[in-house]
Amino acid sequence: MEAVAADYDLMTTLPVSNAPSEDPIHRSGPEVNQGARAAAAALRGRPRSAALRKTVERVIRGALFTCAALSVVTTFSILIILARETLGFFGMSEVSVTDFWFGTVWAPKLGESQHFGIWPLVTGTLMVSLVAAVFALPLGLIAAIYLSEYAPSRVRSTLKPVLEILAGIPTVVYGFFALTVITPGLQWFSGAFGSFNATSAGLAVGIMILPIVCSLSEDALRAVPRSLRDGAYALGSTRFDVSVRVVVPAALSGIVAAFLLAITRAIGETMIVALAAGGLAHMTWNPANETQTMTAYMVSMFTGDAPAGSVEYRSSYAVAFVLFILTLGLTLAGNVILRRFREEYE
Amino acid sequence: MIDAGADAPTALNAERGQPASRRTRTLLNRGFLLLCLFATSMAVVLLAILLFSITIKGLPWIVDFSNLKASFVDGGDGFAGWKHWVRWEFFTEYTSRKPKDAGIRAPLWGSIWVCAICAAAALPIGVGTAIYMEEFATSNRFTRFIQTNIRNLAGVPSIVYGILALTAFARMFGLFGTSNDPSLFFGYAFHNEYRTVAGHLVTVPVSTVGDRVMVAGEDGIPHEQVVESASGGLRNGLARWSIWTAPPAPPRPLRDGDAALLHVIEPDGREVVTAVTVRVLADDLAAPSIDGPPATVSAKNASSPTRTSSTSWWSMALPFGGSVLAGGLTLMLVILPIIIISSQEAFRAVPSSLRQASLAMGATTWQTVRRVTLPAAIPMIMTGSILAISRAIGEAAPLLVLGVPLFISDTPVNLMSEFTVLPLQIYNWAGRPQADFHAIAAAAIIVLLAVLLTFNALAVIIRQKLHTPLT
Repeated sequence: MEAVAADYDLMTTLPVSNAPSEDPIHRSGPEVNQGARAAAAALRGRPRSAALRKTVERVIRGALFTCAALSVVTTFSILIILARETLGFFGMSEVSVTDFWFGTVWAPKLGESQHFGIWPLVTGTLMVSLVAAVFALPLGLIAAIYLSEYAPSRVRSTLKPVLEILAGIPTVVYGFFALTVITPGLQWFSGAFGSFNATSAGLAVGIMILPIVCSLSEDALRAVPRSLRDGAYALGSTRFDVSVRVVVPAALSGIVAAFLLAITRAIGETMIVALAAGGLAHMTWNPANETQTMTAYMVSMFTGDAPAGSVEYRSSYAVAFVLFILTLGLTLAGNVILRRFREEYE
Repeated sequence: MIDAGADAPTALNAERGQPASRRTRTLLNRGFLLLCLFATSMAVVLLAILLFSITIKGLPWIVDFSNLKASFVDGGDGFAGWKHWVRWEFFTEYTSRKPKDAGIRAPLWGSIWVCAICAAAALPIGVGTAIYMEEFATSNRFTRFIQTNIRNLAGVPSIVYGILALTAFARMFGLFGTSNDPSLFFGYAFHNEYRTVAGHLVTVPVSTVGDRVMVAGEDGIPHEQVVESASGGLRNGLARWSIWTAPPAPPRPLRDGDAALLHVIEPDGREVVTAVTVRVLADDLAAPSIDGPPATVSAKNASSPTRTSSTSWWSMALPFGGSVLAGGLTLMLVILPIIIISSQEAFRAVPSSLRQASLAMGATTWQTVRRVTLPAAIPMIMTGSILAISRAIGEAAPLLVLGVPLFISDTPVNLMSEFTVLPLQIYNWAGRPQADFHAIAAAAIIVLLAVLLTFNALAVIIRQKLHTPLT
């Protein structure tokens, strides 16, 4: 409340005359000083006592604060739920903690020879993400450079909606596309590809993250001030030199952050891998093989018939915990890179 | 802004590499432009292939081509004849084991319900958070923490939200029993259902506290017991107003004097429900005698009772289980960070001179928000929210975790109804080996994409029509 009061003192000293001339709120009479009109509108209600106003203000402030605090509650609920169930999972007699972190066999259903080594799921996830990254990161960056440095505004205005549509397509549709178009295409190309394989899922995930890479990188490139480009041109640079040697290095922190965000999305992607990557968790680095990612395993557990509380059901919480930490780490890293290594030119 | 001292070294750096001839550099420039064009056209081509392959597969299930030909080629009324060439069965039928009979009625309605609940929950909380962060909060450590937290939440995989929702909404941390045996519910009416020898359906509403019911004792001998487990509500025999703290006592046989409902199917298929009083007769009646209430119905040799329950539009139970309410709240978690971030941007775009003017005139912060900043920010908030909601419509992973059943043959009627949504139905159909199921999955995708494109177009229109820059 003190802060609000302090605001008043500050505000009353400020001139009102620099209010903009356009009036979006009250359509009539834009000539009238807008600030005054807005303020008059704010006070138009029934005159209330100061005490009542203060109470209303306090209640609303509290309600809005509750909304904002909900997001913190969400994060902590996720952490607590996952940590609790994961600890419960580690406490079960069938599970060994070292086996979980270092084991290379993931066999949750095989009664006697049950093994919970997370690595097959991690490599599966990384393989799919790697295929996606190899496909989408260069392509997205080059498309972003084109949109930001080369494209005439007419081309831009047609390409942006295409990217927006690609970004708005639900992931289950990409999964269907992988299953019915990409996989048969790969099989026609080489017989090594099975009907479920990591490449197909990876390519579909790549298409999914392409618009993210492209639009975020483009934002970063466009944020580079014009003076830098002008300077390079003045020294006789070609457009290629300017783009690749000046603008891209200047925007590098934004581009890396975009890449990290896109990879985070690829790692957390569920529906594509659940449809196209298969359900066999084994250690392999061959992208033509069937594989299971962490997310796909969680789907198979939660939609399967494993009873709640059983060891294989609980294992999905441990996998979710690893996934959560992994994506959280990448997101935090992206934010740090964006903040720490941003080149300030203004 | 242009600071030669800062810029020149960067530009020089750019040139510092191996000295290339002008020819090489021009060629490099050309080559890179070609690469750019290739990369960019790749995106367009991929979108085209995706849309084309799906249309080819799915369209025959939405459009009846023989009637389409009649409408357009053989002198029909073209687009005006849409009633004939749209395959309506696809929209009005429930899913089926045979692709030919399958339709998207349940997922279509499920998507509408879930989307409405999600929007109703996410918009106030999301915009409220944005208002707090942009208009009320002072910049301190906690505010910065909330801000970082929101950004991180946007990067959390949606399936993780599914796990949170499973624990927090579907099971409610186990505080209220299980979803099959909820400990708190209202708006449910329980009936004991009997079928008389003559084949008539008789239902007896299960009564509330104080009524006497027959229960099987531990020794197997039925004995009468007073219902104690229900609380509150009317005591007219209907449980609708009751808040049950446990499911009602097990069904008992029909008795003389029971106030029952007689369901008779008329020859035209209508079901007529009459209030009757049960009288156990020595003989079975061929037909119930209804001479105005109280009527009688023979209960001799009636089938053993089964328990049924009916719900009203306001039925509620805790925990939520796999209900449409839980589904909507799950998607709320997923899109909340998106709505918050886009709404914050909307508030930041409102010039601060507007705020200052309002505050200078003595308005409180909330008055300023309500009358000045919020109206100015609304168009951008709406654009962002529509895009967020269209993301929710396409989301499937968190609902899979929630344990939404995949074979639904009913549309939701209240917040506690079971449901499925379009992306889940697509997932289900796409996961089957038969090609025909893939084809109807493609048809459902066409419907889903049509809905999403409409939403996107709506967002663009709002952005262009309502958004006038304020500075």
